[in-house]
Amino acid sequence: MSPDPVVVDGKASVERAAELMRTHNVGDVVVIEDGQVRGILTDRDIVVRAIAEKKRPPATLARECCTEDPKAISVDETTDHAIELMRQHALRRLLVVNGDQLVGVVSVGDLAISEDGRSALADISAARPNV
Amino acid sequence: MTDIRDVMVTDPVTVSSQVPVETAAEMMREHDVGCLPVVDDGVLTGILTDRDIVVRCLANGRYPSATPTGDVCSRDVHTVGPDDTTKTAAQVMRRHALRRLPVVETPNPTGGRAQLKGMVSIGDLALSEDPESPLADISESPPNSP
Repeated sequence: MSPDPVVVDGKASVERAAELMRTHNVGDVVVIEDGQVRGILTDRDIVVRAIAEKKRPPATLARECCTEDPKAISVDETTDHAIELMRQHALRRLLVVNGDQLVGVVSVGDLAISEDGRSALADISAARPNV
Repeated sequence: MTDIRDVMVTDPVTVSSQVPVETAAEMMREHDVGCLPVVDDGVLTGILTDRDIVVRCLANGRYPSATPTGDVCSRDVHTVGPDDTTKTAAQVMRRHALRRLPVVETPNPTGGRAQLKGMVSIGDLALSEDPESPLADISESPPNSP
């Protein structure tokens, strides 16, 4: 998993979220409201739900474009369980929690590495997206 | 050994470098892809990913409706040829951390300015190498679908 996920306030604009994605070199941020996780926002969410909808990026909020109520998995769970959850719900990312504390995000790419360490898929998924 | 021509998509959606980023985003949504080859007069001139749009357009305060695709796409495109093997494509993807490669008639590892023949994705390769892989079916799922 990626520890210390980058977070953005739900009322921040997607333009602000884009700046965070660039600065931290990540493709997703966790959207927080009132101390609670509201969703996960990916670069693709911004493209598909804001730009393709002709919304103005400075006036479009992260909360409007994120995928809400992401599934969470405990930091103690196995990667097999994470893969199962992702397949079952057609997800590419899960929150990783320790009790009620958010500690990271795990992606399909992270799992490809640990399950299938020598494959081309693992190397590619581990790498940063095209910058 | 499988050739690229046997696994590639032969009629990929493409975008012209003159088209506004906003229109390219609509095409990405409509065709459910995260990456579009940029083609001008049949020649591959770049590649545009959803990340390029976010990092090079939005994060720089530029308006997607007023920014041409050519201003934010990557111009340095890695390619393979239709007669290359899937193993070669996997090596290029691994070395350069790419999920998709344009297939061009005259592959050029640095320039890539050649007639576009198709696209090949990591999912196409995973399926051709190992259809039973538990990752084959999720590696090409749309990102974070609701």
